[in-house]
Amino acid sequence: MPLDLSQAYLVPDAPVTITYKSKTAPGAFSAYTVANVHRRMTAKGQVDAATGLQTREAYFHIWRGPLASAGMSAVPKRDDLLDHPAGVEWLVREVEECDLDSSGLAQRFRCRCVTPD
Amino acid sequence: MANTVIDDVLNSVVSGVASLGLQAGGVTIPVVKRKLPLKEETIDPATQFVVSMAEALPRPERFCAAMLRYELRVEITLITPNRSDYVGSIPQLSDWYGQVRDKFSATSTTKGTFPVTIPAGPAAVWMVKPGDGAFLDRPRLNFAYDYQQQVVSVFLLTRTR
Repeated sequence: MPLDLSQAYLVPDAPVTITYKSKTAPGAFSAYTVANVHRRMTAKGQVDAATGLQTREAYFHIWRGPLASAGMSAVPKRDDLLDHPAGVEWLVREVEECDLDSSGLAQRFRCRCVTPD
Repeated sequence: MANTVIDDVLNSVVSGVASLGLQAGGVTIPVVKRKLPLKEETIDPATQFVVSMAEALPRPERFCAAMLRYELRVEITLITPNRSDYVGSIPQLSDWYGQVRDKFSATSTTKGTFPVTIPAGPAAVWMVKPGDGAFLDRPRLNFAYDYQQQVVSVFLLTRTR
């Protein structure tokens, strides 16, 4: 009996609904409202040694089920934008595909996001 | 003893850039002086010009009998957040670059006016000219910042006797 991970997004506490802007062309984005996104802690991110510029960093977990419900066929990728309801716009920098199911599809995308503000 | 020449030159460049009144999104971009081209967290606005001295110390060169020439390299840096935007703002960034460059290249010995002044003393500004720079610094662009830098060289003459 293969493990069914398609409902796993219901497990974490404190889900948020975000606006996910998938980059479709340079300078062009398609916006989707994605529910049941889980944000882990935010942290002060990398510091640029030459200038001291620093970005804030956070990890967002986005599940395949809510992405499909939002009508988004593309998967998260670098340079997409993610609007958190707190009013911060995050830039997706790295995406890890997690929770591979028996067919090899990732059920969860762990996105490392930064914001320059 | 304090030597205020470098500080005075930086202050003059700050006034020179501020007098351009360059705007981003309808708001005048602030111009500040720092030791480092940096945006200080929660202190500085998201978009600003930073005027700083280049790392290299000025090297004295013989200009003529009893005169030394120093080149002070001043960096004028525009720091603004970049949100995955690798196509927009190019006309605005070009305009910024052009206006700053022209501000400091309009000055020559023939025109007789300098946007950079230092107080009375043994040194005098001989020439101001724009130097090299980076249109958009690539590592910083990838680091989520539009980061543009123009170097302005301020040449000072100092009497040695």
